[in-house]
Amino acid sequence: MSSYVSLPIFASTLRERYRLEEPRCRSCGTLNVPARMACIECGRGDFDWEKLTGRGRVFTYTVIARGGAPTEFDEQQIMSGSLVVAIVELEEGAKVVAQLTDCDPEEVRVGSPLKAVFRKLYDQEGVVRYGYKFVMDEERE
Amino acid sequence: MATGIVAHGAYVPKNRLPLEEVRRFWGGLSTPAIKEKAFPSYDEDPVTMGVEAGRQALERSPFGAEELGAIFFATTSGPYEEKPNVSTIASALTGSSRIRVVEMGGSPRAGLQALLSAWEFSASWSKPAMAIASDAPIAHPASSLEHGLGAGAAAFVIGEGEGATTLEAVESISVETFGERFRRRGQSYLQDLELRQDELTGSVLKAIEGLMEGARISLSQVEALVLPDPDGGTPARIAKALGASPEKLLSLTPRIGDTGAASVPLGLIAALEKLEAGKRILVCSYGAGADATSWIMGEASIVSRQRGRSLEDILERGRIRSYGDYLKLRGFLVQKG
Ligand SMILES: [Zn+2]
Repeated sequence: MSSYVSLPIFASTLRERYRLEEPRCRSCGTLNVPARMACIECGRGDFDWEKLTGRGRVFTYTVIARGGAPTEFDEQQIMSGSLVVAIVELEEGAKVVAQLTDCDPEEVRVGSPLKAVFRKLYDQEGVVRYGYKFVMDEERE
Repeated sequence: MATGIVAHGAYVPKNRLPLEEVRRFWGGLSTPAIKEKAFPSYDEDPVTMGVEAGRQALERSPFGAEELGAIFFATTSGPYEEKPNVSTIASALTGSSRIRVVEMGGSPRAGLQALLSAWEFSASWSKPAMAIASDAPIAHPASSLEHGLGAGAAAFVIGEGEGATTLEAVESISVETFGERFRRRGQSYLQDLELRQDELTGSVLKAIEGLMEGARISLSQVEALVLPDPDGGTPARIAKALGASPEKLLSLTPRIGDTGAASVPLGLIAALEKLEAGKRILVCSYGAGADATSWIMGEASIVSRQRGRSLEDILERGRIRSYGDYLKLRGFLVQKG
């Protein structure tokens, strides 16, 4: 099973994936993550893009055993075994789903401080897909 | 105000392999002076390491990412041979597309060349520029050349600033080499025919002596020496030939391995994190010839190193891995196609 994201769709989200910039609604001030055409709170469509700090905490997480992830992660799972996916509550209040990297599943706790890093997500159709993941923020342990 | 380094940043992957593991596995070790090496995880490469080093430099910089006029990126092991790796880095660092991006490679010398080019860009156009050197050189795990290869990244913001670490002099040498550290187009692994011609020592000595003569510098006026170090022992050999005290040498190779184009720039960062203002740093890199440079340490580098995580802290936070993990995470065991 694959959770295929086409290259044009991927390219249209670079700002979010590469720089963690997200739109804040001009009318009601809600941070919309991921970006949408109309505000999730008030339905209007005017936004100011904001660069997020990349700091957050584990809201909840799950460990996906070898073979359990979509096919684009096959190579990663061969190399690393299980992978950790978390819902991260960002300092700005919004939540994102992302992989945790450079950590053993046993050390992850709800509430662990996290920091966004730029990593390889997967390699598909001969194209490397980069984006953010999170690591344990050792400066806030 | 002078043009110089106003901020620096470093990145070293967390994974560490004690080289004793290599000795145990292969029954020998080609680089006994290297104790441990850093290596990228399955989701790291010179692009991701370069972005992280660049982000640390920008967090410490008086100039914002949007003010950068250029990024010079050096690597010998980027994921793409065609399609600029540096464009990915630029997109990750800044939302501005009005920026010149230049990619350099060809030898470990590329790292210092990127720094020099960024300085020359900034001095010519009075605009800040960034130099990033990020590398994870790779050879076949069964070759002795592979034993000492590590990974890391160094980034510098160059601009006109109060207390910048300034470039004093440059001397460059170019020579033709045969059979020494090369990789043909389309090949994955470095090769070295090990003809032991020692072009390295000859070129480095020539460049440093030329530099010192041209700028009228004596060794006693040099506080720190950063020299090419593929094996953890080369700088001491060169220092002996120069008549320099080994205490002045700075190299991360014994702790994180040969980081290719990032090696000498990381050595420069070790100097920037240690010296007092006004001290002279001699930095020389090698690759079919040599570039020797001298820098005068400025207050801006002291301010820069006090913000965020120090190089020493980054170095200490490694995680020891087994040789099996190394082979897996480095991608040596992935079945292609
Ligand atoms: Zn709204």
